[in-house]
Amino acid sequence: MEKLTKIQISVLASYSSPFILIFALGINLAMLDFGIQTGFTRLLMLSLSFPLGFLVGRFIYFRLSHVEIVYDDLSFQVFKGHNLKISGSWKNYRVVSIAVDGYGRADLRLYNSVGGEFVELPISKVGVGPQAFRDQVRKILSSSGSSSINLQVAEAA
Amino acid sequence: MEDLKSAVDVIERELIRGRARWVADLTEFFRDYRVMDATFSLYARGKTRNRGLFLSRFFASTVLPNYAVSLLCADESGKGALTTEKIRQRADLVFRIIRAGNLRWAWLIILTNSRLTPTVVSFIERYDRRELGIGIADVSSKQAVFSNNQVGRSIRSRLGLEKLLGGLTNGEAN
Repeated sequence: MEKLTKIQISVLASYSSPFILIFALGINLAMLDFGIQTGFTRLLMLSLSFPLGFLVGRFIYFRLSHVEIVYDDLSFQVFKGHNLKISGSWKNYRVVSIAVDGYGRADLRLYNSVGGEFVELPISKVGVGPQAFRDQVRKILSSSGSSSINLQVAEAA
Repeated sequence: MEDLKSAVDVIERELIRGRARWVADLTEFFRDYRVMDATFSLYARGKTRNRGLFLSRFFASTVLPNYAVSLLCADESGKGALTTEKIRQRADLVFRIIRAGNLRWAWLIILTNSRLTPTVVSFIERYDRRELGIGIADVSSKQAVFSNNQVGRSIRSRLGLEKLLGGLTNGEAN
């Protein structure tokens, strides 16, 4: 089994930043109660808000949004957070394409036939090159018996 | 043959990065796309309306038409000299795809590793059907010729096919 994964820094930052702010406010209020209003101690205490907020954000990120693609020559699974979002067998698909979304992110689509239903593997979220991974998937598809991308384009016939 | 694979890879990579966005927003890319008895090394499909974020999306949705368009790239290397008959066959296939997919227009790029003959150059330069823009390129000599219609001229001006092929010599393909 191979695993593709990458920490999405922007998502992690968006989860962490509100908690950093909340911790900073909380620490600030606590220091006011303790009468610490100036000096290096105050700065040191406030800087604690970064690791604390980051830890909470990291916990939520890994629980909800971290994407992992696990695959071997027979099957694949896509996890988002702790949930299994997509799973399937390569042999159920014959065609693979690269699909670019509105933000320029390239993902992989698996079809049984072009124009039919598809499954989308979010490879843009695991930091893998779309062309290289597409070529690898094509090799897997051709070796798994789903064979060639010989599309007889129904609409062109 | 390796050069040609690299050329198709480079064209695809640049299209994925949005090189064609001023003309068309190509959103899906297939390799070795087989239609009838012919295989196209690359088939990309999309729309003429860009997506964008806020302002560009608003501009696109209010001003730009939303036509379906395609790009097909064929590899004619190792199949003898490129003739007008082969080009005509490819063009006919693309017309079938245009009709079947209800496309507004399509780009057809043919890559070869043999020198372009004057007959081929003349045929392409005189080609003026407005639904199909044709670009033919000799990957080894980097010679390229384009059909004399708006869609064909955009292969040079917007896709920058010659520039892409020129990059191959500088090792950009690898």
